[in-house]
Amino acid sequence: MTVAAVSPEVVAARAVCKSFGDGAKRFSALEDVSLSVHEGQFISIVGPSGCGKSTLLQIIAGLSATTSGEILIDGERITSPRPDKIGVVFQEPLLLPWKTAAENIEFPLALRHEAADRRRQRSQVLLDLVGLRESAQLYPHQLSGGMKQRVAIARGLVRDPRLLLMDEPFAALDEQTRTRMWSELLQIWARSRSTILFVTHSLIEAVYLADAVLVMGTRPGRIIERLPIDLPRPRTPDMVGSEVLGQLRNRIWHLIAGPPT
Amino acid sequence: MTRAMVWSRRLAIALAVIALWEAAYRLGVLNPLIFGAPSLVAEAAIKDGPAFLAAFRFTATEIVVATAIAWSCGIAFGVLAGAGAARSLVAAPIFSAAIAVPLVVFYPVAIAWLGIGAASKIAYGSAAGFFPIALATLLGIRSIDQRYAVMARAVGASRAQILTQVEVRLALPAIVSGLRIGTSLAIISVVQGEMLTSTDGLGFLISYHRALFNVGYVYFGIVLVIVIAAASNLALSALERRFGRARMLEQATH
Repeated sequence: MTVAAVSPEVVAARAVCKSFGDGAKRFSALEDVSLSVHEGQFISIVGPSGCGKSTLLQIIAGLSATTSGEILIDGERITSPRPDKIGVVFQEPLLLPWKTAAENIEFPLALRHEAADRRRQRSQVLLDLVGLRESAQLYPHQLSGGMKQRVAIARGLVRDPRLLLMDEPFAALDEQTRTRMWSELLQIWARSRSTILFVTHSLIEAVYLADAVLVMGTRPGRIIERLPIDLPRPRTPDMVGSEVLGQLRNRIWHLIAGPPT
Repeated sequence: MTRAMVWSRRLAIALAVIALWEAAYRLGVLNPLIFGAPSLVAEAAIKDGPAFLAAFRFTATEIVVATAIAWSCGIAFGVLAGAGAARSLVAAPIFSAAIAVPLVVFYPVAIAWLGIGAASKIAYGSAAGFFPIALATLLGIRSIDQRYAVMARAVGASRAQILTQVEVRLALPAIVSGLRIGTSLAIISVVQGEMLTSTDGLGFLISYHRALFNVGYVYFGIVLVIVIAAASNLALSALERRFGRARMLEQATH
């Protein structure tokens, strides 16, 4: 966690609460959630379903408002989507089927009416980054699930955001593709020097990828533990089956499910 | 089968039907006062070709104008109504109720307001085409996957950009099927209007010659109406190949 000690803070959540409904039907999805992500970090958020991890991510993305508390990016409070600061990758690639891979990556730039040659230049850089240079002119239906999600990652990075938010991006992929995507993502992260906040329900995935894992609990949704992951980098697929990783995974499991019996 | 083989077989079937029709007339099997005959149609075309050509142009123009109004107003109102959840709840039942009303009951009103010329046919045809197009557009926009809109918002799209660059594009297959229904109704209504009250157009010539028992002329008018319908069908099929549901399904697989 040397990175955290020296690099500036990119995103902070301060005492974020989110509730739905009123009166007796009032449901507290998030209670007093605070977190901080520093430049260059890869932080995972893991928790059981219904712990509000996706709600938290929506709030950080500016897609949903807090009931109380605030989200700061580079110290600035945000209340609406800030694509210049935050890129988002969803569980589904959500590529526009009538656009090529390159055009999908350029979509956020096209919305800002950026010049075509500048857009092309930018999508080339990102296609190289995600290893899809040869597939620039293919349409989504011509790409595999893993390739589509790499295009979605490139689209998330196209405006060079301060933070990349990822909402269970590999949940819909088969296990082998997912394992390959882990290596891909870590390489993309290292090459682009981006900062990533990664939401998942897979404990192994959370540990394997991250510098630290935020473990969330339910009813109400809150962060119950921040677990630093001191596995060396670069991480290799063999580590997935290692004892150290298994112990970390078990610790998180008992934080969520209760102590071993 | 190659394309050429398909077309040659279609042509062969058409020629066989015409030959059978003519043979039945010559052998006295079919009453020419009811069924006409290809030779009677040819005779009408030779004797009165220019008048029918002028009527063809007149009717085709009415149909093109009525269709253009139905398409543009139908899509515009459908998009506007479909863009908001509350608005679409109000508008959808109005559009679908209007489709259920036989608009022909308003045709005398259109005649009273707009006269017996082209304007009343265009008004009648575009009204008949408008509602199915507006309803299909509205429902198409309401039924798209909302996650695309969330994605677009996250990457910085404004409300208008989400509507025009994402939602309308995703709704295109539904809009195109609405266009097919709306265009058919516009064509039917224009010709029907001409047959009811008018002084020009193919519908008028068909009614006029029917009253005089000029069977060949009636059938020649029918053939020309079929030509217009076939041309519209070809154009819509091209549109469906480009934007229709089959293509979207193909794109959605994997």
